[in-house]
Amino acid sequence: MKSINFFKDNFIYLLFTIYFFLGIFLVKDYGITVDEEFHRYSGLYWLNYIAEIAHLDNLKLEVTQKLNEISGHTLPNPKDFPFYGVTFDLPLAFLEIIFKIEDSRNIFLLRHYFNFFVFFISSIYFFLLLKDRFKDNKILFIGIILFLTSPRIFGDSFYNNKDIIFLSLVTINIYYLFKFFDNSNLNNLFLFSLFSSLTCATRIVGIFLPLSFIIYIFVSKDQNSNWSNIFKKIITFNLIFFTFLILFWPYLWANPISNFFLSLKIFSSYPIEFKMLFNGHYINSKFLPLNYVPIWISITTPLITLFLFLFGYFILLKRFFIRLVNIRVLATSNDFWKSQTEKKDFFIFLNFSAIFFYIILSNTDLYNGWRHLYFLHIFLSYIACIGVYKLFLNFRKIKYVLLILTILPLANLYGIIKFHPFQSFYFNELLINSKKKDFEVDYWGLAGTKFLEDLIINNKNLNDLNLAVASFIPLERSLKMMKNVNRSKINIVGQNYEIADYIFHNNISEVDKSKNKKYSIPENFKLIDEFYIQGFMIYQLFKKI
Amino acid sequence: MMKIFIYKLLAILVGFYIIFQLTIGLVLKDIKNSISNYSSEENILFVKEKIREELKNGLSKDKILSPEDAKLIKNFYFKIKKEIENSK
Repeated sequence: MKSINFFKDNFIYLLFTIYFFLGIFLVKDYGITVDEEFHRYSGLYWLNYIAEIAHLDNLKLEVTQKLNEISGHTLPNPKDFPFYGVTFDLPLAFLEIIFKIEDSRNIFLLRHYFNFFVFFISSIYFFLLLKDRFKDNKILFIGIILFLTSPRIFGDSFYNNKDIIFLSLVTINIYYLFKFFDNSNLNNLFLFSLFSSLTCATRIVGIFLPLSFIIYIFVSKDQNSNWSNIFKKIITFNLIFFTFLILFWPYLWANPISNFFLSLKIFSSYPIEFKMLFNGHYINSKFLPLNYVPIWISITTPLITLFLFLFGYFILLKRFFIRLVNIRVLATSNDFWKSQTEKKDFFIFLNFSAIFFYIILSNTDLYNGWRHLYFLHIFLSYIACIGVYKLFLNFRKIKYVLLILTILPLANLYGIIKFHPFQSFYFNELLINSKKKDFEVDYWGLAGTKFLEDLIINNKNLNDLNLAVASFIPLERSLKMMKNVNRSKINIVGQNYEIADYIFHNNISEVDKSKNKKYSIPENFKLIDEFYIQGFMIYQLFKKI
Repeated sequence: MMKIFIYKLLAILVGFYIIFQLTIGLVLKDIKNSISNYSSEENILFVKEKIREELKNGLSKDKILSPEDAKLIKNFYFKIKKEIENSK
């Protein structure tokens, strides 16, 4: 009995310890994605900018040397894309310099370790957030499992230094906001403002948190609170928020106001447009169909999470309508919530609904599935916990239902194991076999490193192998994750099929393949190898005959 | 009273935005998408390539036109030629 009680009290420490060591153990299994090199470049570029301003000559010398070594004809220059936040890239560039890391594989591994570490920290915050809300150990367990075991999020947590870092910061930010809801003191306001600026400096879309915070302050006003207090809070928040936002985002230093608004404009309409495969058709990234986001979320989220989320969302929607129709001029409690927990639930519900429907209706540019919206994962997991809570209430007397409900989310682990180390290619059972070729799978070139390593293993005697790429993926960036000795053996020749010995092909294309033949395989090449995961074609290898 | 007014106003604005985007917004998006598709470099290159292909196909055949079409085009050509010659 004692041991059961000990387990009950400490299960969460055990869970996080296992997760941490598992993550550390798995980091090396993952390849590199195409955007990572740009973000490293961006970090060094802004570090150079800071070194110049601060007259740190030695640092500047080292950074300039590193910058000069970066090359690649498909690699964008951060000068042309300065609006990206560098809250992750800048410290990592600094660490790269401090620890004198020279080998590209080690540089990207360091980034991967930190990527995982930030997500790990955010999962602890998510646990604390749930602990304040639900208090029931079983719900906490399910909540954490849902948060950690969504295969796409799990996989991306090792290398996605944009969307996962942003998701992590949004999670931490919401935790501090809820702390402020519980206790509106200056300390909590400061922490919330600080993390708001960090979130917003990472990605401008994070502005939704400060905006909804201000709206919430007004909606929370009751007959006892006075206007001067409300304005004091808002002014203090804005002062801290904008001060740290400028501090965390070097792009704003030269011209804070116009650069801030320029970033906002770029977020809603990205300057580059291309075609992508969605539901069997090539669609333009600037004209997405209404069902783009709902379809992507529903085919890549584990079914158990999806079911619990839909149930939880229905509960919150019902509650919202009941409160809405019962609004009275003179009310004793707030119009939208009756308790602190309901206030938090309403915040999650309102923000999720506003972001989700705004993205769908406003024609915001999206590409690469729904990775830009991975920050919604915190909302999905939280709302799914509301669903669990309600089911627990309804079935509290039927013990085996409770047991099934507690164990069922562990089924997500099956998806993680099955797809390892390509969890980012996960699709759930809603996607039938005949539709598996209708969606982009490896849009980030994650399998590129595995492909190149296999190619070297199978061609041990070959040196100076010419490899063409019949795909939008800049495969040369995957070389950076290979062992140094193997990098020079492969010569990537883009779409110069005439001089190629082999051709790499996958289903990623920025042009409509039915109209543009740039990625068509010439007739003098024969398919010799292909790699499939769960029926999804990841890549193919063609050899000259 | 002011509070009720603000809530109603917000509900109307949100409702208006949703209806606008689902009706006029959707039509506008379709039109813009069609224009973008037709005028895209990719489509122009595709049409050029298609014309080139059709010309090649035509040249590889023994006869491009059917006897009726050949006669019709011939008559049309002579009529135009005559009109041009008769003009000042």
